[in-house]
Formats: sequence, structure tokens, C-alpha cells
Amino acid sequence: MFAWMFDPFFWLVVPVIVLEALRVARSERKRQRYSVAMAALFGALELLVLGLCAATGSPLVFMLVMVVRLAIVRVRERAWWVRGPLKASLLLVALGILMAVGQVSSFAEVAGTNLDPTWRITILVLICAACAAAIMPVRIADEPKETLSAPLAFIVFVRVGLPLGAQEPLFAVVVPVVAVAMSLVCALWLFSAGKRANQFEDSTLVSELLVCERGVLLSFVWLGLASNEHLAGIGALLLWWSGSLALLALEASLRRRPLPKPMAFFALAMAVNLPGTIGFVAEDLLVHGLLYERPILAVAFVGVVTLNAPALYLALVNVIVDVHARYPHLQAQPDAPRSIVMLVAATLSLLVGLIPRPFVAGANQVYDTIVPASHRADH
Amino acid sequence: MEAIISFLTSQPPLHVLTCVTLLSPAAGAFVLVLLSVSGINPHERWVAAVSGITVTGAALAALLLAGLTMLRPGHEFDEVLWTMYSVESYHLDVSIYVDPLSATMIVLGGAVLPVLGRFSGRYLHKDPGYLRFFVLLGVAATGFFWFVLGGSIDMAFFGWELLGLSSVLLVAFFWDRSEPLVGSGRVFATYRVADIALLTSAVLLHSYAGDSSWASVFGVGELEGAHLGTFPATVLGLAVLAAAIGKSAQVPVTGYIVRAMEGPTPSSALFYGTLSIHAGVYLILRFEPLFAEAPIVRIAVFSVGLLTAITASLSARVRADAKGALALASAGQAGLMLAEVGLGWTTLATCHLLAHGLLRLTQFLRSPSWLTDAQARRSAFGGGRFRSDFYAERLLPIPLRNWLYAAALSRFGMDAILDRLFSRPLSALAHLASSSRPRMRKRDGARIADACAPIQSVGSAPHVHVHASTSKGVH
Repeated sequence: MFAWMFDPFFWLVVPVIVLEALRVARSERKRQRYSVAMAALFGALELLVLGLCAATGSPLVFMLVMVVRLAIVRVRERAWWVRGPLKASLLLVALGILMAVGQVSSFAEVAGTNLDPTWRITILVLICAACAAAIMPVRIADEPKETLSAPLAFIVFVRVGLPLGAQEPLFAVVVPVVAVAMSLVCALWLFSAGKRANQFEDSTLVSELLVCERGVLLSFVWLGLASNEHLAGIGALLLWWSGSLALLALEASLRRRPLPKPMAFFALAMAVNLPGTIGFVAEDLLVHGLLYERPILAVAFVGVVTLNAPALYLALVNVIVDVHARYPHLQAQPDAPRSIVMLVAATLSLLVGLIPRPFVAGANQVYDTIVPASHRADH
Repeated sequence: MEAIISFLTSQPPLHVLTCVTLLSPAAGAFVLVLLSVSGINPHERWVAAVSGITVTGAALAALLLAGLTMLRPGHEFDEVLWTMYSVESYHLDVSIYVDPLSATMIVLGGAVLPVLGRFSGRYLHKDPGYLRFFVLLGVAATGFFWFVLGGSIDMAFFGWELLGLSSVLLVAFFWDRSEPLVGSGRVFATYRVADIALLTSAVLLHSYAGDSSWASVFGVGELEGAHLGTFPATVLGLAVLAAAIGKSAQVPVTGYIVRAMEGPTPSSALFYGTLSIHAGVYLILRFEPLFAEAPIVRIAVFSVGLLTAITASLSARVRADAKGALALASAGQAGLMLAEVGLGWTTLATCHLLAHGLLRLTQFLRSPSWLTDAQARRSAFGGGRFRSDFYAERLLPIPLRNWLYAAALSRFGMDAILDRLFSRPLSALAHLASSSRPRMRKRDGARIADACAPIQSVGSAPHVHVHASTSKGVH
């Protein structure tokens, strides 16, 4: 029951989880509502719970921890919300079926299990629905309640979805198409939010920008993982890192007043994967991976990438213009209160982006672990 | 003497020069960023000195590199410096390729960058964004040298994006005003489309030629270049042309260059007078050998160039502001260069590029003193007119002349057409996609009355936006 999976995938997810915990611990709202110590405690709890989910090899433990996390977030946010329990329910049902019907007690056994196709498809649909729910931006007036870049659905997708999906020929065809379509919708919503910035509260505009961009980046990750292409998979894993860093940097810079504009622009460069950042390498690999076997998907991906960058830029520009209009008294103040989180995120992104070889090799190793060579499309 | 030349043109000195050229401006920008984030507020003199030393050092090294390469047999220097990453058969090499074409561009960059740095040091005196300008100048210089010296399309893409990014951020340099920010949005969107076109070209080149290094695609010395065939060469050529259209402000996206004039004058001179505007032309020149297999691309390059030359020149003649007129004239000249490439006159286009870049730099940098210069010229003519009353337009019938005037004022309606074809449908699509989302509420809980208000175009958004924001009275 207490099997652990400290495999390369776990170590890949750890930085993402640490960033997520850091985001919770440094949350301005939580500091105001509770105290600095309590915010740090919530961050530590987030680290512990997400870390347990990534490390456990047992679906049962995963389910228990997921329910505990739901309770923690309920206490932390002082409100119920629809999407968290919905996603948890989808995953609980999927893992429940896997354990009950497939007699699976460890994630390591998933690839070898011989499920009836109907059950297999049911599980895959449930997991993919949870992933889609995690990607789809929900409009919020304040900080996002859930994780920005480390949804549990993605961990289940990698642990269960990919091994089961390898047995379904349509899996690698349908899921990437859904992922690209979702990325397009998220990019359009981002564009729309940027255009109608005057209809948003300050914090809501930032939240809207963040959740839409999260949707785009996670869709790309989902697309790469589900495409069953080697290069695209590695690109997706790297994009998971780069996306986490970019989202953290965006939030750290955009919620500050006076707005640190240089940092905000650098965070934008990270989010749209400009050269020098790790996202550039990830995007390059993703495009090359998709091109040879899935040219139409590659074209669609490139189209969304083209739309995403100006949409994000427009939203950012409107945040700046908005802040100028709302807080004219801050105009006279010096520009940039420095954010340590932002600086660390930027440094990491640049470091990995300029010396990507060991990280690409690491992501390659992770991909080999999560998608065995016999299951790959290029095999 | 021969021994000295032989030593200088051997690999070690050229490697050193390459590293200085590619890394020095980036190092300068990095030092300035470090000073900024560490809380040290360096004096302007120090900022200018750091930037001057690194950018000028890179420019001198680049000029030497170009000169020494020309002394080598075959006039080419092709070298893989290191492999950035590799996965199975796919690898991204950091490589360098210098040939007469890139040497010409290096000469342009090497001549322009130090002058601009020196000019900007005085021009931006006491500007709050002084340090930021020099950081971005370092990024632009890095991008330019990577773009020109990069030994493969991947490396060129790396530099191309850095050049674009620095250009956009310099358009938004005065970011306390909304117009530069919105103008930079238009530039960013156009550049992004061009970026994606170049990325597509890179992927296509990988796919068709099996390699993306200039040396293997175009051949070096006895190594023969790739023969792609008509269809691949045409598809690739059109993708490259799309990228060049975006970067060199050709028809139909010429309009963005006028919005880009919101940036400080040195940045306008750097990007829209010399480096960025010619990057597209350079790209077309680089791919020109492939056009032998793709006559359609040749015709397209010629047509786009000629059309831009005509429309942009006419628009420049009716433009009221000096920088706008100069920018449009630059786009027109870039169009002429493309037309020359389309006709196969690559040497003429290369010379044209170099001469135009240097001339336009001078004109841009003198543009703040335009009136003084005009008065000085008038004085030189003894106070009389220094332009004759004859204009070629007078030969045209009056209705045609009036139509041309109106069309040139509106830049032949290209911005409106682009808005109608792309911006509005995209806005409508975004509006449609987001119409199902719950409406936002004001802070007081009142529902926004008109959440479905028509989406503003990029150009008009800030005015509406600022008033609406202010009216909420949130402080």
C-alpha cells in the first residue's frame, strides 16, 4: 500500500511543486488574512501534500491525500468552490475503477494490467476530463484557489493515463486535438480579457490573465505528453518547468504596486518562450516533435503560439495602463520594488535556457520512464 | 606577412573574435541588470561606459572578424562552437558562419552600434529609463550579431527574436504614456507573426534539407549545397518571405513602422533606420540561392518589394512628422532592395543595404534638429527657397493626384484592411468564445451594465480604457 515512486518523473515534478508551495506561502492575500507564519504553514502543507501525491505509488494513498488536500484548501480559502471537488471526484472515480476492476494496487502495475476496453476508455475519459477541468480557466475575482501549474490531474495522467492510453490507438489522436482546441480557447479568452480590461477590477484582471495563460501553457504540456512523440514529450516536460517559472514570475510581478514593469516584461518573455529562456528550448522540441508525424497539429500549435504572445502582451499593456490610471500617486515613486521570487524564477529560466543540455537529458530520461519505448509512435 | 595573416586567419584568433562579438554586449547588459537589481544606482557615466566598452568591443571584434574572414581562402568561416542540446538524431548546434554577405551586415552593425551608443549617452541624459535603454541596446546588439553570424537558421532565429524583443521594448520605452505601449503592442504582434514564419522556415528547412546549417544548405568551398526541388523551395521561400515582410515592414504590414516611432530617436534609428528594417532583406539575400529553384518566390519577392517601394515612398512624402516620414522611406528603400533581389541583382542589393543603412542612421539621428538643419540650409541658400517648385506629381492629372494624396495619407488603407481581415474577426471570435463566461462585477457588486460592449481596436483601446478605469474611482 505504501509503495513510493521516487522515479525521474517525481524529480521532474518536485521543482514545479516547490514553486507552487512558494506561491502559496508568499500569497499577499493569505498574509493579510492570516499571518506570515500561517501563510508559510499553508505553503509547507501544499508542498507536503503535492509531494506525497507525486511520490506515492499507491492509487489508494493518492486518493486519500487528494481528499485531505481538498479539505486543506477549503480551510485555507474559507470557501467551497465547484471545480476542485469536481476534478477530485473525476479522479477518485477513475482511480476507484482502476483499483476495483483492474485489481491495481500500484501505479507501476498499470502498464501491465489487462482491462476491458470499456473500462479502460472510461478511466481515460475521466482522467482526461479532470485534465481539461484543470486547464480550463475559471473566472475569479481574487487569487486562484487551486494550483497554478501543478494540477494533480496531470500526475494521474502521467501515472495512469499514458500507460493505459498506449493500449488505445485513438488516444494519441483524440487527446492532442482536444488539447490544441483548449489552448486556442484559452488564448482567445486571454485576448478577450486584454481587450476588455476596463471591465475588470485590478486584481481580477491579473487573475484572469494568469488563469488564461496557465490554460494555454498547460494545454501545450498536455498536448506534448499525449502526442506520443518523443521530442514533443520532452518539450512538454520542459515546458511544464518553464511554464511554472513563468506563471510564478508573472504573478510575483503583476500583483505588486508600484508595478515592477521591467520584471513584468521579463515574465512575459518567459511566458511566450522567447530566446534565452528554457521555454524557447521546450517550444523548439515540441514543434519539431509534432511536425514530422502530426503536421496539422504542429500548424495548429504554431497558430496558438502566434496568438498567445500578442494576447498576453495586450493584457499586460492594459494592466500597466490600468495601474497608471488607478494609482497616479504611485507614478512618482521609483519603479521596481524587487521581488526575490521573480529574480529567482528569472535566473533559473535563463540558466536552464542558456545551458539546456543537462536538463534536456534529464527530461529525456523522464520521458523514457513514463512512456516506455515499446509504446511510442516512433517505435 | 603571410605568416601573420595565416596565423590571424586560423581558428584560434577567429574563435576569440567570435566569442567577443557574440558575448560581449550580452555581458554588458547582464552587468547593468545586476547593478540595477542589486540596488546600486550607477551614475549615467558608468552606465554609458559599461555599454560603450562592451558594445564597441563587440563591434570592433566583428569588424576584425569580417575583415580576417575575407582574407581566408574561399572567404568563408564555418565552425560549430558547441552543441546546445541533442536528443537522438536531433541536435541544436551553436555555430558561426561568416561569408561576404554576413561580413557586409557586420560592417553595418559594427559601424552603427558604437555611434548610436555614444549619441544615446547624451541624448537620454537624465531620462529615468537611461539604464534600461543601454540594457536593451546590449540585447539588441547581441541579437543582431547572433542573427548575422549564426551558422544555422536556428541560431539566426535566436538572434532574430532577441532583436525583435529589444525593438518592441524600446518602442514601449516611455511606458508612462499609453500610446507607446499600445504602439509597441502592434509592433509585437507583427514581429510575432514574422517570428513564427521564420520558425516555420527553420522547421521546413530541417524537414526538406535534413539540416539547418547555412554551410550544408548553401554549400561551402567544395561542399555542394542542398537541392530541394521546386515545391519545397517554393514553400520554404514563401515562409521566408513572410518573415521578411514582417521584419522589414513590407506590404501589407508597413503601417506598424509608423507606430514604432513612439520610441526614443536612437532606438528608431537603430531598428527602423539600420538594423531591424534590413534584417528581412538580409534573410531574403541569404536564401536567394534557393530561389533559383522557385521562380514563384522570385516573382513574389519582386512584387512585394516594388509595391512597398511605391506605396511607402508616397506615404513618406505626405507624412507630417520627420521620424514617420523617415521610417516609411526606409521601408520603401527596403522594398527596392527586395525588388533588386527578386531580379537577381544581389550585389546591388547588398551595396544598397549598406549605403542606405548608414545614410538613414545619419538622417534619423539628425531628425530632432530637423528645423535647425532646415534653417541652416536656407541660410546657405541665402535665405531663399532651397527646393524648386517642380514636383513630379504635377505631371499627373489633378483627380489622380488628389486620389494618390488621400491614399498615401491613409497608407493606402492597408491598416484598415488588416484590421478588417484579421483584428476584427479575431476580436469577434474572442468575444464569442468568452461570451459564455460569467460576467465580471465591479467592486461594489453591481453587475457591469454592458459586458458585451463592442471590443475596441488596438489603436483606440487606451483612450476608452483610461477613462473607464478612472471613472471607477478606485484609489
